Amino acid sequence: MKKAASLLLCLLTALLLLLPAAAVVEQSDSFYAADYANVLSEETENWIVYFNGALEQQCSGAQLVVVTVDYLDGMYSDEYAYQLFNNWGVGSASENNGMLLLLAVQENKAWLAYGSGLTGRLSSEIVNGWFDDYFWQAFDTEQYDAAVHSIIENAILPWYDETYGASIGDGTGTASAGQPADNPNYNPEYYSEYEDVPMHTGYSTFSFGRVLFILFVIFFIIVPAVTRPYRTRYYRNFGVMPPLFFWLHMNRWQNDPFRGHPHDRNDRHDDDWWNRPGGGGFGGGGGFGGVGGFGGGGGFGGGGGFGGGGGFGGGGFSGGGGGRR
Amino acid sequence: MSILRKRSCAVVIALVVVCLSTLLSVNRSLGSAADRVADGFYSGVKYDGYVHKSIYSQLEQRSGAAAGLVTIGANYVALGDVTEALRSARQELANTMDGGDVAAMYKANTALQTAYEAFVYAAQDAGLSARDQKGVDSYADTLSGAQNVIAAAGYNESVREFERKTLSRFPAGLLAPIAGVDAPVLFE
Repeated sequence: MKKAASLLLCLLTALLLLLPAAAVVEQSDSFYAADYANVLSEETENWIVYFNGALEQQCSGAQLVVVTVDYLDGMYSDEYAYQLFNNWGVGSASENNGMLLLLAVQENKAWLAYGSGLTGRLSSEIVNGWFDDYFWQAFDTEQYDAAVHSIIENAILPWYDETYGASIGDGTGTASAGQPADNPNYNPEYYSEYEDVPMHTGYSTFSFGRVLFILFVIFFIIVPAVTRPYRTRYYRNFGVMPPLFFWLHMNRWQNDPFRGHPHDRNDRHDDDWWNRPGGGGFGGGGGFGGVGGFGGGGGFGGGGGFGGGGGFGGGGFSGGGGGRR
Repeated sequence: MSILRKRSCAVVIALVVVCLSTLLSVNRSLGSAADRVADGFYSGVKYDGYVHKSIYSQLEQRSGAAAGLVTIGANYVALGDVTEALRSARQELANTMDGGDVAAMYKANTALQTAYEAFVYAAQDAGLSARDQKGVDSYADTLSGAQNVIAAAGYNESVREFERKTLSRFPAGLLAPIAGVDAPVLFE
């Protein structure tokens, strides 16, 4: 009876853990501009879509997505931004060089998240400097168009120009700028290739990551619950019967078996935190089998891809960002 | 008018002038300080380096979202009672916001929260259309988001800090009520 109850509890826990956390907004039709708070003008939204063409062409598939929301659904702005970044797959899958600018207008907060491919060249100090110099003054006086224009024209696009030797300028038009559809790397059918991955809800129904998670639950939670009376002294340190794969590496896991890096909010402003391997861990930044899963590969799957977005035992979101939490 | 030439009269007049001027200056200086704190309820409180959204602005958001829920609920007979309760609570909040009584606004907001929760609970079994359900979810996000912002607004903390650092100390604590300085009201 007790065994059955513990098994049932383990299964229920596993199922609950598969559910996504707080809800973030869905991807917009244009992808690059998602003005859910209705604070940006149509001209600004069109401009954002337009310069992304040049960005993708000249900066190795980089993308800059701007999202406005009223509230953060009880989350910190960085959490919300990273979840969007992973869910939507921003930037090149190979370079992970995208950025996502999130504005939470009713909470007076904003955050700029960038992919792990930019970590060595960008830092939270630089990003916070951009916000201080070009963004907050207009943002705090509810001039959201001006704030977005200012930080993108004066900081973000020039940074991409300098980093990639591009000539996007202020994004209003260069010889090589064009609509995203002109970009040979742009796949307008991108999401149709992953119809079994419901990107809108943020997690796949049957992704590789989710399968691994289920296997983990079976081998390390359910099996020990069932085989408790039969464990030998060899597994004293772990209390579980590891599958053969881990058996061979038993010594490596002696001291710290399956613990990822702790998800500690206090470390967020430390760039080194994001550079640690497995920064997400289980239930950390991107989470395991949570946001994005492994549905972000291909095309511009960027942040959601394997090792970029959610991942098993590592990955998670390992980029960085700055702004007001 | 020979009394005015007496020294005792001069002393009395001087004392009266000093007291009145003291009270006046206390009223002006302490009163403006109290007003700045109270103004945080309407314009937001600055902490962590920036001005947070004000409680009043978020009450406006909640009132607007509640109005949206009332519009949706009016289309369903099954939601008649809860919609009417929500409508009344929203109207009461709007009235208190016009009146400017902070304590009354708190009570009205609490009543609105109760009515909203009852509405959402009833709406689960009301057979809402997909479009109306989406609308309810959106308004619910606004109501809960605004409530979170209210909780983090920092206004009550600023009032308590003002009371602790200024109004509870001598001589401000003694002179404030005499000078007619009203302490800011907590939103609770």
